[in-house]
Amino acid sequence: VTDGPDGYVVEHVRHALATDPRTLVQGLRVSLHGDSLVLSGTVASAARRDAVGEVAAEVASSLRVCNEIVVVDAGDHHRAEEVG
Amino acid sequence: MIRLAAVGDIHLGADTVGDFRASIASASDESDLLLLAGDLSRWGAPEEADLVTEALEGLGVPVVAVLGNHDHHAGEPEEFRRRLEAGGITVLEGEATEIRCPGGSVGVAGAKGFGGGFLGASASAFGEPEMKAFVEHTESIAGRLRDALTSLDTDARVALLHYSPVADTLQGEPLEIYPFLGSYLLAEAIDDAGATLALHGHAHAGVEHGTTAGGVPVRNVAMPVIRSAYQVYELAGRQVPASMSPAWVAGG
Repeated sequence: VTDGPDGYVVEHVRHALATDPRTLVQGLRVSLHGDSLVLSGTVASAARRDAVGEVAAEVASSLRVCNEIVVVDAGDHHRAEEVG
Repeated sequence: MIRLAAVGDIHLGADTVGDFRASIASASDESDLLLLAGDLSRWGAPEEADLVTEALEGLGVPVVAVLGNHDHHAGEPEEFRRRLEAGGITVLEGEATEIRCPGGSVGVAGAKGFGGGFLGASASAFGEPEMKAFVEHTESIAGRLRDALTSLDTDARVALLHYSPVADTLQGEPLEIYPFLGSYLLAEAIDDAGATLALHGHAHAGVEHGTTAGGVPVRNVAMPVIRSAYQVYELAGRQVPASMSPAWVAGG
């Protein structure tokens, strides 16, 4: 839910995450549930997840931030596919 | 058979380069070349290009890349590209390269791509100069992609992009941002010229598999989508004389 004045805050958080030198991430989900701002999606390290939570908390200081970002490693999960 | 390893959106930083280097190392055992579908960095600072070449140094297979929007953010894409090339990575922007693999020759036509939307909901170059510039940027890139693909005379042809040519692989992304994730103009160019496979990144919340209207397989290899340091695609090629393998010859 992004209705009401706090909907603007959601966009401010999204833009801050894209442009703040600490984060520089796009494509994360930022959503409002009551007075909680929920962050979800994936990043490549725990440090990046923590930075996202920090920047969001600064911008949305009146909201409770729930950082549900998942750290995805680049481990050996691949497989081969025949195409063409 | 030609074996491609591919990944996009690696967004390397000092905090991830070590893990990535360890994970990508096995690509040289499982593939003939590595394709990078843009967003190699977090914000395109030239020193971030050095992290990429450091991670791939000594990999043992040719590496071909396109840049993504993050690689443009610092405003120095030329220097970013120059440092990648100094590290041995072939960078394409509306250009093509041909690589001879043990299983046949593969041509890669690469371009960043850009947005504009997809069939049934796409932007036109109309109205304000800013809107015209947006659409014309995509049109220009699509035109160069078409020419680059057409120039290839290889057993397999691959279109390497950052932005998506189709909406299929965006499922999971908010519908409202599709016009910022790619353009049908890229798919039209691919279908006009013909390709064995099209690869892209950019859509972290999308899905891996899609197809152009003309039937070309499309794969979204953004690292958050494939959840791996790379994915391997095996393309039917043809056998080349043993005297030509296992050396790889890059040109273009």
